[in-house]
Amino acid sequence: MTDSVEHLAAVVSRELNVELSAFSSDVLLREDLGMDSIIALNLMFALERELAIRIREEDIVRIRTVGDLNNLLFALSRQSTG
Amino acid sequence: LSVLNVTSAVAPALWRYLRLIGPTVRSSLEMPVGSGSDPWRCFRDLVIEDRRKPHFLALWTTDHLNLLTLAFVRGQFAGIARHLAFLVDDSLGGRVVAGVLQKQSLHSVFIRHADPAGRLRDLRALVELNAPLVLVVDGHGPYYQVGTGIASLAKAVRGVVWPCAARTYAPLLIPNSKVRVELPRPFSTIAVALAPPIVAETVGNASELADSLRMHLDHLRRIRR
Repeated sequence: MTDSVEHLAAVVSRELNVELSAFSSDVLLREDLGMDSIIALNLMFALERELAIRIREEDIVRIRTVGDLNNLLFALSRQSTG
Repeated sequence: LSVLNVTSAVAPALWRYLRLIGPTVRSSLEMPVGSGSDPWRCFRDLVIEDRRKPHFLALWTTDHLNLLTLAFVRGQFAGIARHLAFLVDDSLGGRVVAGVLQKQSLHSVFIRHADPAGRLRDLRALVELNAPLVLVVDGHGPYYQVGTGIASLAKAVRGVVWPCAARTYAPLLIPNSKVRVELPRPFSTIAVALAPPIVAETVGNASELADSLRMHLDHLRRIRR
């Protein structure tokens, strides 16, 4: 992972109250890690603060697994630097 | 009958009823701290004017229409209600209340349950609104249990939760198989009582906040009508 993605992963870990890197990519965020709509909202706000961008709600809802989340972080990282 | 048809028939009828009885209804307010001789003034100062933190007025479904009726009563709450936002969901009851709020030009915040992205958008709008929020804590059932979402939301936004009851003597009961929903009769008195506020930051987690809120709301249910 690049530095900026690692930084975003740390932000997510803090919001989800779990160490994201400790989980394999197929772990389910809602069912296994208990991500409800409020946590998703916090996650969205935290990422928006970090990146100074507006994230679409659909992009947050679409992520189901830790792998999906990592993909989103890569995409957001590219978006904010590019 | 579709939900839309029922809503469009019931909401205007309920609004007309509340407008009719409003001028005949009296109200009282019991604040937990420092109200002096003017509890409504105290309410305005502590809940409405303080924009440093999000304030939540939390009550059971049973009491919701009693509190809403106060917006039609000639008195201090009618003015205060214009500064509040009422949280409504996409249930039949929520849609009816939303119709009444709209006709009375009161602010409502709509929360969808079925559409996850829409729900997230609604929650964002709610947080960004920065207005004191009236919400029922058992809106989608099970009734008389505090929903974890409400407690999580209060924790997330570091809000202040005011447990609230609005009761009236010998109310009309709205037919509902799951919970008593009260509606004041003409010339009745609506007694509003607030428990000491729960400051979310001082509570360990959302579950503790929900427990504390339920305890206060259970206590308030025993207030004199």
